[in-house]
Amino acid sequence: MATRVLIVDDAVFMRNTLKEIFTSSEYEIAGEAANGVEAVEKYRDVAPEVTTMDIVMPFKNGIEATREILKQDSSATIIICSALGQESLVMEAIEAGATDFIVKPFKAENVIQVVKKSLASRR
Amino acid sequence: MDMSKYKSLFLSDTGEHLDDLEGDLVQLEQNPDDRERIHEVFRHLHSIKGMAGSMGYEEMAHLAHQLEDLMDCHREQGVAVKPEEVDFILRGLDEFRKQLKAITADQPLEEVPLDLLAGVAQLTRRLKSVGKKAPHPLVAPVPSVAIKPPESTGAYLIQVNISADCSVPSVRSYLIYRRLCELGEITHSDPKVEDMRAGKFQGHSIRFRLITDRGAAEIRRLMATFAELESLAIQLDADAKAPSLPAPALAPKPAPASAVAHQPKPATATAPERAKITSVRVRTDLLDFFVDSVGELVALRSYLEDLSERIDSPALNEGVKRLTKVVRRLHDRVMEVRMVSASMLTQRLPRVGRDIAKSRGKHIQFVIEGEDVELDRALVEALDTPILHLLRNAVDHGIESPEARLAAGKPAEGQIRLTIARRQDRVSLILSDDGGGIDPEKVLAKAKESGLVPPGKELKQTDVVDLIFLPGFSTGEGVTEISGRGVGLDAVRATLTGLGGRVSVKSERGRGTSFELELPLTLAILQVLLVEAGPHLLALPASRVLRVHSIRPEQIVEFGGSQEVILGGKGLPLVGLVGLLEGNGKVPRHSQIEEGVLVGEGEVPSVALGAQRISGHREVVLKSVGVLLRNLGPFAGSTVLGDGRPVLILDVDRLIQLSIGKSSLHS
Repeated sequence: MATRVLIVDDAVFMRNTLKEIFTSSEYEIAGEAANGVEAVEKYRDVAPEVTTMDIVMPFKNGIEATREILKQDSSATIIICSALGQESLVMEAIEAGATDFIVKPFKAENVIQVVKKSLASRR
Repeated sequence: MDMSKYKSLFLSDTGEHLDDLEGDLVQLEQNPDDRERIHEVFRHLHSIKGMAGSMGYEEMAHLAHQLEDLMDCHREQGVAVKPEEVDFILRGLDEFRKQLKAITADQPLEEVPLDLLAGVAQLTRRLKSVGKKAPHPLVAPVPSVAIKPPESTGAYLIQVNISADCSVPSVRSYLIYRRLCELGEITHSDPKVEDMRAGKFQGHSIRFRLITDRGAAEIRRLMATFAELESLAIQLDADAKAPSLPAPALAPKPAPASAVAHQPKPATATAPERAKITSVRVRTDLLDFFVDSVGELVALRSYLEDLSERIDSPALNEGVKRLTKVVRRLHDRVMEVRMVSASMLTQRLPRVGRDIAKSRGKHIQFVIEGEDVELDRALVEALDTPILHLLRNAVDHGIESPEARLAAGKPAEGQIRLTIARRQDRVSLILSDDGGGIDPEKVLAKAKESGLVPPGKELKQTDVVDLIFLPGFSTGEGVTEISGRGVGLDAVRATLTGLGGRVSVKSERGRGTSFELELPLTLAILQVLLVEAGPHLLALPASRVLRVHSIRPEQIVEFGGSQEVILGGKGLPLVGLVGLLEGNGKVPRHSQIEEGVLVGEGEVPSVALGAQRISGHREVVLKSVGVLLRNLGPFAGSTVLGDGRPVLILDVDRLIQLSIGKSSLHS
């Protein structure tokens, strides 16, 4: 069964990059969201197994969205997408309950490894 | 696609899921509304379904699907699991095990019993309809068996090396820190948490001291979920209260990775992560081959040493000395490779305890302590039957019925405790119950009736209880009524002896019984004394030999059908080794007994073994003997000497016990 992924990022380019990475038959894109508000709604609708979450986004940032999603579903697997120089934001996201993180520019094998390992940690 | 090449992987993975599932189910029965556990059970069933489906084992996938469906309802509705549901899933689990067996043997799968499928489907339907009407969680009745997790809390030193290509080590280490906090309390960390949090840490090696009631296996499991780790070392910390971390002495697993990590990465995106390979799977038969070969090396080394002593060549001596070092080191490492957690041994026990208790209408609480102790895989396999046996006895016969317990002023729920502890290079397993204890009078009466003790003979109470280990003791009917003990305990004892260990029992009427199994942590190198008896060569464990004495024919006296040797004015039972191997155990008067090997426990010799000659001292690796050989006589095992000669190793405990039955102890 394919792992269902929700991709949250305000940049279309980044969403496409991630979609590209998840093209194998093991994954299925369950949905996309361009900001934190949308992310929380989409999560409720599609109940993905993994969510990739950008941090800096309009309306509601990724940390807030992570917090709210986890309030809905404490077992949610959320992987923070960050860039170099955003360390303190990632720390905050970890404190909010994010499962793991990846650092831009993304390498496909790193993303897949983090996703696979994170799913293993899901209880 | 040809799936057959995945079969062995499928078998081992599914087997692991089944073992975990069993443990989770028994725990779930104790805490029927444990949502996490419900999710775990669901997850195992889900995985089994997926794997069986992709392998084309339809019967298996279908059953897993049905059970998964049931658990899915619980997961969604947050409803407590009922005992009957646990029963059904356990039945399903037994079916899965049968199916795995058939798959292993390349046989077609049998159909799953219809009543099982129908029962599960009915429960699921009921749950679905209830779920619509009543969203509130139901309260399940408390089950009869309570399993407590071990209460012991330990401190672990954890050393993690982050891989060199991790761009933000401070974030990675902080994440690890946060997740470890979920397992217990981190009392120390190097670097300091503040430095990780502030992004100041740029190194790649982190150390924590974690105080937790979870085992190393759980820590390992958690750490396996992190990306960008290069190596991990976990070590029990004896000095839990130390104010700081010790110097980084604990060696992380050498990471061959670091060398690889600096090589240019292959260009393809899907290239395997070479840097992450820190362990490989090895077939167990291959490991066993290594162990056997090391055993042969040990014997060969001992043989060469013996030769070098006779030839006296400095060059040969030096060679043997160096060989000794290498063989020792190799032996230690090879044994280490086979170490597995004792939980492999204990995993099934809660289920077994539960099933027997349920069928007997008894209430038990079964506590296991020390599951983290590491044992040789061969020991785990060999101990499986004895432990099951003792547990069965404890539940079946040790623990009284709830009514009888209440009448005796005890809580209705009986306590059974299995404690596994490591004592230097030995391990001890104690299975104790707070049941009715063993009645020595009944044991003695039974032993006399079976002819194991001559009528009119006086025995100390502790000796009496030990009679339950005698081979003939278990055969008679009604033995099980003697507080149930004695059922095949000779087999338990024989197994332990074969492993270089011992079993002992303590019992107090009305208070309970405790069996202790004590044995070497690995298949040990044994020091033996080689003795010649007629044409035979025999070995005796050197640790049990107290003295060797020359014997003259006039020192041997007949005593009530058996023989004694008079040494220092006292009579000691004499067992002629030739007679033992060839017939009645007697030493014919005309035979050439020249040496008496005095064996016993502690300082006091219990038996003298009559032999012709002591032919040396060797190191050997004990090999357990099969049932057939065990029935031939008091043999603990066999071994092959460096020069290729096979030798039987005598079972001193059994020799002593035999002589207690056959002749008088003190004259």
